[in-house]
Amino acid sequence: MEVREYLSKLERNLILGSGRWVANFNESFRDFLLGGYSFAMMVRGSTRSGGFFLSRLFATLALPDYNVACFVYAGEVKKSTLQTIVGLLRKYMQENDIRWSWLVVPREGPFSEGLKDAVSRMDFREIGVALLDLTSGEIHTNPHMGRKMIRYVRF
Amino acid sequence: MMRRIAPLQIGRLGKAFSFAFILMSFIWGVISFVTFGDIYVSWLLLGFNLVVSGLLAFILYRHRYHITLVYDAEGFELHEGTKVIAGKWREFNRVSLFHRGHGDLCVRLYYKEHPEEYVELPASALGLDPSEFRFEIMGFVRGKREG
Repeated sequence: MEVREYLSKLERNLILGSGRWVANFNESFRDFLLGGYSFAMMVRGSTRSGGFFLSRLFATLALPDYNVACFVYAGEVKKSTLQTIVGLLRKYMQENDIRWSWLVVPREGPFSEGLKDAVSRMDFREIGVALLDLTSGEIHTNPHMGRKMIRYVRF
Repeated sequence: MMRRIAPLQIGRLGKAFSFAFILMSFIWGVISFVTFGDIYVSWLLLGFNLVVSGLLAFILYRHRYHITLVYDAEGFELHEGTKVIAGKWREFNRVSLFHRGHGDLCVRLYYKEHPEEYVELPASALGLDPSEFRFEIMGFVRGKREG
């Protein structure tokens, strides 16, 4: 699968597909610029969904209301780049009141062991990081948020 | 080259018809109750109600719900009923694909001068492929930004 095709599938899945079980992802930006880095895609939303009267009432009464986002970085990634990107995401999340984010790094080919190791050691709860090899379908994530996002970002 | 998109929007026509039919039924119910002390119904009345509702729906659709989009490489004009929103691509700097709910997708354009304000181009209602349409609009906005 090519990156462009993957982006379309992920966008559709988050906005109209199973992603809706996690949050109401409702807005997608392509070529999103952040701190000098160009993210192939950024999808944002909130945990409170819309719907008709009863589902809206249920959402208001029972669901928490906070902002979430999913970033996709399709450029070349090294350990230092990944750390910079995560730092940028943290800053962006603070500025925009985003409670948690996913960062997906898709690539047509395997990732280096060093990079996988770096992701495994990213032990934070507010950002899920996933390295996705589009050729083999292999995915490597960080421990907490990362594991939960697998089923929504791998096809 | 100027492009004009104005398909018949069945969903919006249906909405206009439902509104007109419910309104007509309610009005008849009130008139009938006040005049005869009961709500009088018959097949003839139903047929009459359907015809009048159809006419009302068509007028309502043309004046309020029908969407027409006209655009070229410079800008666009969006007509929603009698309301018109016009803009030039150079006025915008960010483009997104936005889900308004129930599978209705639109392309959002954010103003350069007022980053919180935006215009929505209803891609699904116009029968367009929302994703492809978004890329086309991004091309216009980027072209104007870089040009």
